[in-house]
Amino acid sequence: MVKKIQIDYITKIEGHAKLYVKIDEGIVKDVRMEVFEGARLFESLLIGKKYDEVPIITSRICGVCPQAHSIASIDAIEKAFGHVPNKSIETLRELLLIGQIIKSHTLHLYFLALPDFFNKRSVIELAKEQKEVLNLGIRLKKLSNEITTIIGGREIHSITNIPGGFTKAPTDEELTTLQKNIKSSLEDSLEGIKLFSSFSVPDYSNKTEYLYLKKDENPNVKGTVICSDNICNSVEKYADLMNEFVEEYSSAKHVTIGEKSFFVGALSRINQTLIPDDIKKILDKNSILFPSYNPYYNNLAQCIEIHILLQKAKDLIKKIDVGEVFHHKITPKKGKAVSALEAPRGILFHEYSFDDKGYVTKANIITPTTQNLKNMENDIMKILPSLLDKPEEKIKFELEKLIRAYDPCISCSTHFLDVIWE
Amino acid sequence: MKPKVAIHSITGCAGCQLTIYFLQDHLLDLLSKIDLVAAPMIQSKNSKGPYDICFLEGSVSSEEDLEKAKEYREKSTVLIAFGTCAAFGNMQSSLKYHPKKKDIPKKIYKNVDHLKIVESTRLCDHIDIDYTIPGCPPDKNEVFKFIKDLLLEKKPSLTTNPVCYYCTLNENNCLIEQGVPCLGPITNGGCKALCPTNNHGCTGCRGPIDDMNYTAQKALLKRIGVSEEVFIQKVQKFAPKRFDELIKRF
Repeated sequence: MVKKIQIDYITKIEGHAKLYVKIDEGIVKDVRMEVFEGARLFESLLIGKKYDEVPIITSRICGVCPQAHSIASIDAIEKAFGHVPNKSIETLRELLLIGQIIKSHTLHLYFLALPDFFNKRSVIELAKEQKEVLNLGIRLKKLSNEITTIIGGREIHSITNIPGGFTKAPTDEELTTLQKNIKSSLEDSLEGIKLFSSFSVPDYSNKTEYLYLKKDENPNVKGTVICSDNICNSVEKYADLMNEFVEEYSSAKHVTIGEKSFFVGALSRINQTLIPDDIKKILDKNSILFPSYNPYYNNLAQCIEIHILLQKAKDLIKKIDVGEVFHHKITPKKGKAVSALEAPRGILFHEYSFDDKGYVTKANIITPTTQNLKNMENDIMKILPSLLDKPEEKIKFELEKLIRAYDPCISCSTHFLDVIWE
Repeated sequence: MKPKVAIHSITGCAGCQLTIYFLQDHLLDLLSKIDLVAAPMIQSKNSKGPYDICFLEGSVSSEEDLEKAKEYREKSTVLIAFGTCAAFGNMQSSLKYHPKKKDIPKKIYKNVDHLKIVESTRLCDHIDIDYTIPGCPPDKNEVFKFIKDLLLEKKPSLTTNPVCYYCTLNENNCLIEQGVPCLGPITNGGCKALCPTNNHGCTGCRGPIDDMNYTAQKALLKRIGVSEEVFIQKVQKFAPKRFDELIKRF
């Protein structure tokens, strides 16, 4: 029987991580997700920087979810300075965030996770046999890139969204075309749900706290309250809830609630969402029920979320008056603020303090992947005994599938440490 | 025979390799013309070399990064420093140049010795580079043309003109003249002036052009109210060491 499982480079995820598992006489003794991405010390870097440099810097934390970081920064900066954006600017930011979530989900689902379900080593191998499936992914990817480019100026590290508003507004014509393209993509996103709900996943459930953001009593990508079935905590007091610590084997911090691990991400959000009938029909056919506490269903939850968010984007576009979208001058003042939003992988926190001239005096950022790391380790520990009679390669494959279902974003997870060069 | 291509990364944000995967309309066509033997972000089972062409993104930010960079160099016929982290070290390498370095709290987590943290540096500080494609992220069209040229065995040409050159071609109104801080006069314009075209001052993400006029740029921004401290923050953001080297000429 296997005594040790070691995956030295977990592939098809964003960033660099290893898995190490120790087994003694059939009992799993130790599970470690070892993140070996170098530390980039973003929080230290931000100290002393002028406020308008902040979103440019934080967006570089991650190439997969840069818009989530820049929007969180801008939101916290405006809150700290007491600036309230107008409705059109607020809506455009929400639309950008939706584009960001769809873009990240599509990349993960169709380029990283999908080959697993066809027993292929990559999307390139998959393309040889399943060209149609892959083209579906490419079309959705293209649409999400279109959203982030029309609003943000480019696909990665957006340009136009800055504290105070946008440097450039999309034109009415661009928004009309976008609206049309979103409408014609809804068939694709529904196909995606059909595809992913047809894949069987291990029968497993682990009901930890599934956290999501809520605003005015509804789940919302930009929320004010951190919730689960048992928790209701204001965003401002996130630090009272989250216990951040360093594990000596990882360059990413870990987060728990008390001593317990928890889950954030698409599955958490979909568990709280009223699922529309057309989707429900597809799920019923495959006897899939939400809420679910099976992390393998995070993939399917991402598919469902793409469809629901596209519908929402269609409605949001109607509310934008491009004449109201410009760059308001904002005046710095001494203060601090927290912003929380639903990034593709779960709740993202940015907190800053500024001096009276708008220079950063303190910064704290907690990303979704760090919040999920402990839950991921615990799930591996729980699910592993049922796999131990299988050949080692098969065990590794199943564990990688579980890790990939979490869609970890390692670059995001490793910017935390404050270190000073002497 | 199709060239053996690798897309590798060390510490960074993965945004550079995404520009390749975001080629969308050209992606499947491109992938059919190469043998992508290693790309751990999108495939399991990756060859350890040799590679005909290796795109390497990220900066050297740990001992492991350094080992890997050397290994990839050894195994690659053509190695490309791909993106601003690889080319210039990017912002993680700027802490050393932090104007308020002394004010940064000396808060060190007790147990970080195991991380073997090293100061972030550029690839060219450690290994030989055949081509450099700067950009945070690199420009998709420039990347596509570069790959096409390589596959056709043409010598790839990369932009050396500053951002201002492309602003003029795009008939943009000068942002500095409107009081917006912009690093266009001294920054490599491989993006074809994408930020100024979006009405945002150039942030300098492609690094400085070799013959930049640092003094004139500083004077220009001073005239529109940019303090020396903020000016240094701006120019040291993406390519701190390159700036340091070039400034010594003044």
